[in-house]
Amino acid sequence: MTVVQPSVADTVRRLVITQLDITGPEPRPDEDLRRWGMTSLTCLGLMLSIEDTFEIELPEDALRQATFRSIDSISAAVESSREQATRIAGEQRKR
Amino acid sequence: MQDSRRSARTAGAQTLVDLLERQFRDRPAATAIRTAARSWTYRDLDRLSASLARRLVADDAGSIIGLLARRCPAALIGIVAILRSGAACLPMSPDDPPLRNSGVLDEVGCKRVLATAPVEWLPDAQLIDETGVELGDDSLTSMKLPSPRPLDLAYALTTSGSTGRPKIVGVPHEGLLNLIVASFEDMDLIRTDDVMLWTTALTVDSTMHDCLMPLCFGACVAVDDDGDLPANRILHAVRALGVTALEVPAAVLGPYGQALLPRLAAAGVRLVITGGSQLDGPDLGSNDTLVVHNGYGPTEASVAATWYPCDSSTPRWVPIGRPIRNVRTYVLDEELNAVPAGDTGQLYLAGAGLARGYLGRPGRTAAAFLPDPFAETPGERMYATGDNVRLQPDGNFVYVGRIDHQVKISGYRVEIGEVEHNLRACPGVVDAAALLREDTPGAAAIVAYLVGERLPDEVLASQLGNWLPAPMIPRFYVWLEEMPLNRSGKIDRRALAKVPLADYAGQPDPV
Repeated sequence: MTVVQPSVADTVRRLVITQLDITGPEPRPDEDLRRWGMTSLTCLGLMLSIEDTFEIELPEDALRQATFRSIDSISAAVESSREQATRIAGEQRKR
Repeated sequence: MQDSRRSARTAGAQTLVDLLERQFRDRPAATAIRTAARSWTYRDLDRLSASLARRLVADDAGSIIGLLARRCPAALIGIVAILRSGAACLPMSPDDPPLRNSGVLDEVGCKRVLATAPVEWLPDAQLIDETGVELGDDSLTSMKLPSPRPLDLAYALTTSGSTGRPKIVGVPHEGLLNLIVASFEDMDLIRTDDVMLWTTALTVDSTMHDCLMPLCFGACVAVDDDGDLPANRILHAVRALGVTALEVPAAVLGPYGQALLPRLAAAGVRLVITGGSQLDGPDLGSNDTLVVHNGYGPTEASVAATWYPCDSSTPRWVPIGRPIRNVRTYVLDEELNAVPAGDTGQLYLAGAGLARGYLGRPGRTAAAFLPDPFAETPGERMYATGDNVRLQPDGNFVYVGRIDHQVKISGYRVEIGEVEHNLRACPGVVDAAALLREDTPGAAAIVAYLVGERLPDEVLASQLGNWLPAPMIPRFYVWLEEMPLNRSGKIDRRALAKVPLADYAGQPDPV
C-alpha cells in the first residue's frame, strides 16, 4: 500500500487552520492571513507550531510577520529552511 | 555573589535616586541603554538626565511631571530625569483619548508634560529626545539636584475605577525601592551583567520595576525598535539585543510558554519575569538554565508584593508565592478577621510598598487603605486587594479569584477562576475565559470563551462534569481566534462580554 505523505503546504494549511481556529471555507494559499484573524499572538503560536511540527529552526530573517503572511509564504520558508539544513548536513558528512 | 557583598551595594540607599547615582559614579563606561543601532553608557545617561532634571528644577516644573510617550530610550531618560528633579513621573499613553489624559493632568495639578513627539491637544508639552536638552545656560550645570525623600512620590499611574473615572495611584520611592532591593538581594532578579528587554507599556507599573531595577544595579536595558513589540517579535528582539532577562505577560506565557521558554533559554535568557494575571500553563519550571519568576501585586502595592519561582514541581495553576521583605500579608474574611490557615479569604497587604493612595480621592483611598489592626505599630495601613487567596502548607499563596468575579448562579456561589482553570485543562484548549452573562434578564448563564482546537459542546461539558458541579458548567461555548487582551496584557473581559451569542443555540439547562 502506498502511503502518501502530506505535502509541506498541506501540513502548513492544517496548522494555520488550527491556530486561527478556522471552520468552514479555508484561506487560499496566497491569501493574507491577517484577513483570517491572525494577530501577533496567534502569529507567535503559528511560528512555534511550525518549528515544532517540521522540526526546523527558522532563520532569524524568516522570523517576521512577512514570512507568515500566507500559507504560500510559510511553506516557502519551511522548504528553504529544510533545504538549508540538508545542505549543511551534507557538508558536515563530507568532512 | 555573597550576601554581604550584595547588601553592601544597597546599604544606606533611601530612594531610587541614591541607587542610580551610585551607578553613575561607579560604572560610567558600562552600557545603560541599548537599541539595535546604538547604546548609551551610564555616563551618557547621567549627563542627559541631569541636564534635563536641572532644566525642570529651574523651570519650577512641579512635583508631578507628565511623560506622554511610548517605549523608547528618550522615555527612559525622561523617567530618570524626572526622578532626579525630585518629582514624580506620571506616564501617559498617546493612544489614550486626549480627554482622558487631560482630565488626569487636571486632577493631579500637573504643570509640565514631557513628550517624545508633538501633541496636538497639548501644544505646551516639552519635547524631549534621546540626544538631550540644549541648556544654553552654563549657570545651570553647577546646580545641585534635589534629593527626594523616601515618602516622596516616585510615580503616579492611572488604574481603572469601578465608578467609571480612572483612579490615580501615587507610589512613593520607599515602595519601589524595597521591591528593587529585594529583587537584587533576595530573588536574583537582576545581575550587573544582565540585559533586560523592556517589554511592558510605559503606563503599566511593571515598567518602573523592569527598567529602573537594571539601572539601579549597573545592568543594561534593551529597547526594541518596534514600538509595539508584538508577541511574535519577542524572540527576534531577544536574539538581536543579547537579552538575558525579560518580562512576558502571563496571558502569553500560559498558552505558549512550553514552546517559547526553551527557545528563550537557547537564546541566552536566564530569567523570565511574569505576572499581570493568573499564570496557568504546563512546564513553566522545567528548564535548567532559565527560571520563570511569577510576580503578583496590585499597582497600589508597588508593582508586586509576592513572588514565586517556578520549578519542576510547579502545577499548571502557578502559585503567587510569598511576600517580599518588609511586606506583611493577611488573609481575612468580611469581618476582617483572619481566616483559619489554609482557608480562602481576601488578601490584605501591609508594610513597605503601600501606595500613598488615590491622588485627589480621599474617600476612595480610605475605603481601600484601611487601618491595620494587626500591626505592631498603631496607625499603619493595610490595602484590600480584592483578591481571594489561600495559603498552602508550603507557605506559598495561591490565587483563587477576584471577590468581584465571584458570581451566583441560581443561588450557587461560583468562582469564575475555577471554571476557567478547568476549561484550560480540557485537552485541545489553549486558553479559556468565562463570563457570567445575562443577555436575557433573569437568564444568567456562564459563557466559556475558548481558543484552541474546536471541540463539540457536549464533549467539553462532559469533561468539565468530571470536576465541576453542574451549576458551574458553562451553558455556552464560544470559540475565538485568540483571547482579546487589554493594554496591560490581561484578558479583556469587556470585549468578551460583547461577543454576540446569537449564533449559539442554548444547551438544555444542566441538570
